[in-house]
Amino acid sequence: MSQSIISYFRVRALLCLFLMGIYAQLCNAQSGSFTIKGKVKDQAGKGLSGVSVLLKNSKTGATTDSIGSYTIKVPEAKGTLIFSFVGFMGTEEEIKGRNQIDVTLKDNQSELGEVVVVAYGHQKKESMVSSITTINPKELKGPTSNLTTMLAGRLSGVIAYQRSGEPGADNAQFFIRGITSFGSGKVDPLILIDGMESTPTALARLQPDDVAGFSVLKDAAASSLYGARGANGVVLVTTKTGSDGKTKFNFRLENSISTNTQNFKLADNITYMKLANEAVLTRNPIGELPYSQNKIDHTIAGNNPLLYPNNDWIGLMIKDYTMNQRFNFNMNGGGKAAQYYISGTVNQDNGILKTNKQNNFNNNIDLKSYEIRSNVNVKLTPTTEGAVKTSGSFDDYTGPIGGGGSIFRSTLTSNPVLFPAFFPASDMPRVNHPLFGNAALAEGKFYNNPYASMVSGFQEYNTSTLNIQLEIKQDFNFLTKGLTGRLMAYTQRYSHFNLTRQYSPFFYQANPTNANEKGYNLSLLNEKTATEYLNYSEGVKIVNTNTYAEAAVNYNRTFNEKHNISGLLITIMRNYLNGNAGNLQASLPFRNQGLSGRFTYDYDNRYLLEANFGYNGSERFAKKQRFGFFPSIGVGWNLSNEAFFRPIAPIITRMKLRATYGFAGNDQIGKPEDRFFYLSDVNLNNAARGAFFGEDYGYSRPGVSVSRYANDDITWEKGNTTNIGLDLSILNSLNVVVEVYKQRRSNILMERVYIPTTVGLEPKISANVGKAEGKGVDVSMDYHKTFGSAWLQARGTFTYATSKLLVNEEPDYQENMYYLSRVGHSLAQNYGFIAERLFVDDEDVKSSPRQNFGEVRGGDIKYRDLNGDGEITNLDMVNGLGHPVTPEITYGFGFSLGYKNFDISAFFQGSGRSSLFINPEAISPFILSGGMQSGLLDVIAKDHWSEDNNNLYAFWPRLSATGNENNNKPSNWWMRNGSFLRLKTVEIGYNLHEKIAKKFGLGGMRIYANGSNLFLVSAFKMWDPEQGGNGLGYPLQKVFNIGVNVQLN
Amino acid sequence: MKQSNFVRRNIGKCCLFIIVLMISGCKKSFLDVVPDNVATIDHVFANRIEAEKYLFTCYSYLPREGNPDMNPGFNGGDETWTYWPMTLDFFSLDSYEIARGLQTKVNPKMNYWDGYDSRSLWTGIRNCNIFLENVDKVVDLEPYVKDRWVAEVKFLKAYFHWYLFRMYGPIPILDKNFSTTATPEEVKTYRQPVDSVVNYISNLIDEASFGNVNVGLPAKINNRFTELGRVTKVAALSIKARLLVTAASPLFNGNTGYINLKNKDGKALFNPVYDEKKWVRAAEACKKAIDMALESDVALYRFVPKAGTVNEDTQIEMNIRNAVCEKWNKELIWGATSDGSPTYWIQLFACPQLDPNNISRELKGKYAPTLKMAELFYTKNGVPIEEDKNWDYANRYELKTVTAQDKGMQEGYQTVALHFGREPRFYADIAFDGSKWLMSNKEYEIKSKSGEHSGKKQPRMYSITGYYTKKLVNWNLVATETSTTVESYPWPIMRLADLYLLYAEALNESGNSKAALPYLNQIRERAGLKSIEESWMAYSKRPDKYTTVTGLREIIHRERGIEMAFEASRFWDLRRWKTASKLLNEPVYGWNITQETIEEYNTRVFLFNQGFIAPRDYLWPINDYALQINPNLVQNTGW
Repeated sequence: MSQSIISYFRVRALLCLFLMGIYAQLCNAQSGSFTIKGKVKDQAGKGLSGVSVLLKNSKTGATTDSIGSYTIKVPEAKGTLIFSFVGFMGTEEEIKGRNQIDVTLKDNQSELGEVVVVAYGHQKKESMVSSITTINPKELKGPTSNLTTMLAGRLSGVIAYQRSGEPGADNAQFFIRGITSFGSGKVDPLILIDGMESTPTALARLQPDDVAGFSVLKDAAASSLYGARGANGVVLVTTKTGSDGKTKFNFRLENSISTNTQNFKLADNITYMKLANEAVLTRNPIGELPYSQNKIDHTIAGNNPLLYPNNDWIGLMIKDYTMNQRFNFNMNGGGKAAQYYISGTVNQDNGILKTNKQNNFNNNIDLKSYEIRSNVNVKLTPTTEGAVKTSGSFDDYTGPIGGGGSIFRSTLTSNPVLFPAFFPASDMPRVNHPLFGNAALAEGKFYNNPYASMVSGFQEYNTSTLNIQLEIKQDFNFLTKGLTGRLMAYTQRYSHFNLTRQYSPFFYQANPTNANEKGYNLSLLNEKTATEYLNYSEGVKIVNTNTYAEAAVNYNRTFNEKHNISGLLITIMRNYLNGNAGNLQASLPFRNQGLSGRFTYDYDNRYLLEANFGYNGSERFAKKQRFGFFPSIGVGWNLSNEAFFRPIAPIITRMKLRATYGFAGNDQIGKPEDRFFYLSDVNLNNAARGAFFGEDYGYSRPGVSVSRYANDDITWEKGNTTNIGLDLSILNSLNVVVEVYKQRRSNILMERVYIPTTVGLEPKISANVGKAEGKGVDVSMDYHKTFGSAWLQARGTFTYATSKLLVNEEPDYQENMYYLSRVGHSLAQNYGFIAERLFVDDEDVKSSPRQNFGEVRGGDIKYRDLNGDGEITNLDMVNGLGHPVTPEITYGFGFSLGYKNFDISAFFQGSGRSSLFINPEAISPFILSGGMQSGLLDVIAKDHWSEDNNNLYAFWPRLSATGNENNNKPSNWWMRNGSFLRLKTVEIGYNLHEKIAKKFGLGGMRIYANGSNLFLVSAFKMWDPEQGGNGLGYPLQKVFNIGVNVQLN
Repeated sequence: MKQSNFVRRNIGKCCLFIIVLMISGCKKSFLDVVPDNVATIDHVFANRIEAEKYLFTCYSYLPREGNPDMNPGFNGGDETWTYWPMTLDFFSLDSYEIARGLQTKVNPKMNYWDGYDSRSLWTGIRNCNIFLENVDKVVDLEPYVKDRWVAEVKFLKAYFHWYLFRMYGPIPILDKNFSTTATPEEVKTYRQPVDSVVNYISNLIDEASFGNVNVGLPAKINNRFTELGRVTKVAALSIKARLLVTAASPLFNGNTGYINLKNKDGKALFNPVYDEKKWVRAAEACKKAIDMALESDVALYRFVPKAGTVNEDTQIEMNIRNAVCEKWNKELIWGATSDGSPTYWIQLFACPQLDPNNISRELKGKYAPTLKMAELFYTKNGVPIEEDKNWDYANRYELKTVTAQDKGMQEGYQTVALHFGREPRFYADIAFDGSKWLMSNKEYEIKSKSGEHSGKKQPRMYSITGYYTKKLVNWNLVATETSTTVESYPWPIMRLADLYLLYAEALNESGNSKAALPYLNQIRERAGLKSIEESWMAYSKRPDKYTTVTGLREIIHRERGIEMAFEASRFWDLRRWKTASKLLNEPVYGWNITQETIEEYNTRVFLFNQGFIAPRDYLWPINDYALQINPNLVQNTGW
């Protein structure tokens, strides 16, 4: 700790010097003769940091520090101070000669003053009619270095789930109001960080400490300004900017212990061998047994494990826990002429894999991510403001080849009894390499020794993102009052490369012998291919740039005190280039161009009207289809501002009704390689379509293949949304927002299916034919109350989003086969057979409808013959099995409780109405594929059909040593309930008493311990249900964390 | 100060100017990012070089008939068998599954209709049509070259239709392409009756082979270095002969089993009335092809040693083996060159470990003839083993010891009597425990009891029956522990003996039995056997068998089965003769290859009970899904 304080002073001194250089000319030293000090608190009595304090009708201002104190120098002892802060009601205080002015701000998120980030600007919450969810960035804090994992349940209207806990690959997927498109194009939202288009990973790397505003635009009225890019919703994030005043520092240091929430369980190896034998015999009584009784007996007896291997791959390869560190600092301050906000972050995330001491490299996952951000605002003239925002994000990763998920999977897909992971180095004292075990499979091919694969090398990737943004705001009051203009341009540069270094492991086999004490000799299996040195291979390199410019004029004016009018007109241009696109068409720039506008009018804050439009073009489409017009309209009524409402105003403090209707589009349709639908895509040198002739087949020419036929009718997806909302405040402490919506998506790009193969087309033809609908309810509630020196905050969100396919490209099913149609079902609902039970015996198979999927025997899954033709074919599959695989309900609730300097908070998150499908192919035991031979899950060992146990409803059907096509068919046999509720985060914190903090020269200090994913309630026990069907990958992590947050003034 | 005021005043104006400029100047050309000359289909026929690529594209859709897993004839029937399950050493299990009765309409095996081995034959046909529609655009193409290319592509178009016809029977005809904007109604084509399909293909081959030797298709390839493998007139005419023989055969000629196979509009797809004229027409086509072949120097293959002479047995063995395996030999009418190594894999799949001191992991030895095939071959007297008066049929599974007089086997070895006293094709085509294997560098000894070098030593790479397919292995193959050299011969899609057998069959069926005998006898003579007349009269229990049409039919079928053994012919022959429902409903047997002793090894073991459901299995199923997309298509009977 003291170490970090010392280094902090060093950093501070350096930074001060540096900044002084920059600001010397810009800053007019604060001139003033009268000093006012004070403290700004919230209703709970907690100091509020970052509150802006401004002398009315002047440029003099200050901001409160981390404990809410401020100091302002004003020219004379009169005038009025304006206190304002996002999320709180602003207030004004006359100075009246006072030196000390303490203020309590009313913390009312939905109250009049709150300003919300909206498309291309800000809007007062009170006058908003569209559907926008915002969140206090503090709520996004958690013991994680991935912000996306904190979204689920915290934002109403956002469906989010995390499928993997692997550092670097642990982004949660999130969708605004679910997925309403089923094409192969983009379905996730547009993410804009400070107006810059960003990837989910960029959002993941963002520090909640740096976030000023976080909004999710849900309906078309909110997103139609983004026109052809807004249909999947928009996430708008703004980062903090500097504020006038003394430089303030904020440090946060965290250290956490991370462990798997749940591991899949394997059966013991004796059972493995016995059941492997059973799997052969049960299908073929004269089949060859893989394991001799002799081997099994020796293994049971625990005889030499190098001769009779008995590997626990999970134990050999996976650690119990790992440690991660996070460090973040930020500072802000400035003078009247310029303000800055600078932050930096270093996060270290380690994987949970073991390493081998004989290697001097680290094959475990080690992800270091760095983030740096500098936001500087400059007052260029009294009417012109400029801003420069630069940020960089850098990931340095080393990890196992193939990624951590494949390591976890390999513990299940590797034979545990054929060879030991490695032999003791003492067996061959003269060699320098680890002595890995293995057995020959085929010519030069071996089994997969997962341990050897894991420790024999590592991959490395480095990712850099640099963003630079310039913005100029100009007040055009000199033209007409209320007119402002804005120019903004940015460029993003992204680069990524990866490479692997790996030696080819030496594989040894133990041959029993009586010639020595050990009882075996080692023989080297792969002397020709094994290497002691590392081989090197380069991986992908991704380089791209994104440049963008926008220009806007804003008009904002109130007439006769009651007529509030605002207008916005904005034009944008975007150019995205891919440095290694791979082919000519993909290398051409991606471009967007558009003009958008907004008009709002409200009468007396009672009747609200808003109209928006976007007129957008995209390079992807033929000229006639290139531009689209996306209008939207919304109305609102603040009932609580009506005279008739006054009697109930003390109880229902606020009530607003609003409704919107509008359009938005999605131009990122189809597969990435099919960008220019209006052009055909032909490969004129396709070797696979060539031919060979001549005496020695020496004369060859490549051939021609078509991968896309031209179609100039293709255009974007269209979405139109109706949204109705109710905002309610009760007793000034409970706020409720309820919204219902319906979204209709049309023009979804689909491959036409009516064209039979007899026409001979190479690729399928696509057209904008699909239609779908989404409906749902979003509810968010929050409650806060202060009781003396204690305070309570509670909040909850509930999101229910369903989808329904309206028009699908599918064969014309006759009425009696309509169950085959996807129409009417959710987009994420699976289809498959209806499994009735397992077959009793072979006779049962014979007397049942013939199942057309390979060999079927007693104990295999019996499907229902839906169309009654006496056969089980694909025509007996039914659409709409169970619930969708992505949850329809996401909810979260939590509370924070504070007493004096202590606080505790907890947040639960859950999801409902989702089905989880176990992939039987992935867990089928004993299957040999390449060098992989799958292991045996405990649940299969314990509960499978066998000749002795004719359980018709056993978890696993009759064993098989090869993949069983019949049982692997998608069916409800493998369906499970994916609902769960988990304790997502819990935190206990202690804020150092102000006076004590001051003694140490600190502005404030907080010590806290928190944890995430601590427990889970779910009917599904095989793995963490949030991972869905991906349960064999890298598990989600349970984290215990302690942290300290220090403010320095 | 003044200057700074100027700047201040003007920043605002500049901003306004830029904003107005951007808003008003929404230049639509900003989105025109595609330069001219992006490759499109129009570039294909720009010049001769590009157009030649398109010609090769059309060829590339030919199924890889020499690949063991891409031609159903290799592993889909009863000629060979493999160990099961097979987890390695295959490209596709489809054909093995067909042999095991696992064909399905849900996801048809070897689905050349929708696409198998990256070849939807309909796409092949579509490409042929595109070529034919556009070839006139090529400005620098000499007329005679163009005529040849057009003829080749027409032939390929016919061949793809033929290939589909042989699998599916009545098929739609794709004579003209549909545009990509065709309506759903237009593209929902119907299957055409068998007779129309046959006539269409036959006429198309006529068009392709039209003219004298200097027009269109060449009679033979002159530029051997670059063009061998391309279609010739002889090839085209031979395929037409095969088409018409197939069309005249019982499966398609007067087959009443498919009387209910009708389009939804009631149009019958099979003609239930037998018509002998179909055989006449077939015989004429065969004759025409044979004449053209002989004119073009095609002849039955005779082995010519590199130097000096070889003994008579070797001469005959190599006559037989190299008629298939010698590259571009005189007998070859059309050889598939496919991907540039047409028979690499089938040879490795067929060849066992020959050299006990040089084990190669490339040699799989798993393409294993069944016991049924071993029994099919004649005795040394040129008659079936069950008909030979001098051959002890009843005791054929008893052990006997090889003496110096016995051919093809290692002296002193003990093996079953079945392997004694057989015709030269038996020893040339298959190998077994105790037999010899002549290669150009050395004669090897096959020892294949469990643990022996050619036998089962591990869970894979062995013959499940105890037999190996010597016939398909070129005698120049050399495989050592470290290197593998395979002389990949062009796969004989058609060779003269095949054509002779087709002709003989057509003659016999069209009432010209006598005329058939010389063609059969030429083949027998090359294989070291006496004529049918002599052999049957001298050795058969049914000496006058060849004098009746039915008797001779039986002889021709057997002769064809032996001569064309393992060449992917029997699979189709049993179907067109409609004998599959009997022959493919029998058990598969082999020797007890997991055993080490002579007695145990030489016991017959049951391997599998094949099931063939008639009429269902005579024709391929059309993918169920294709019928949903195109309700005008009807499924084949039984599926």
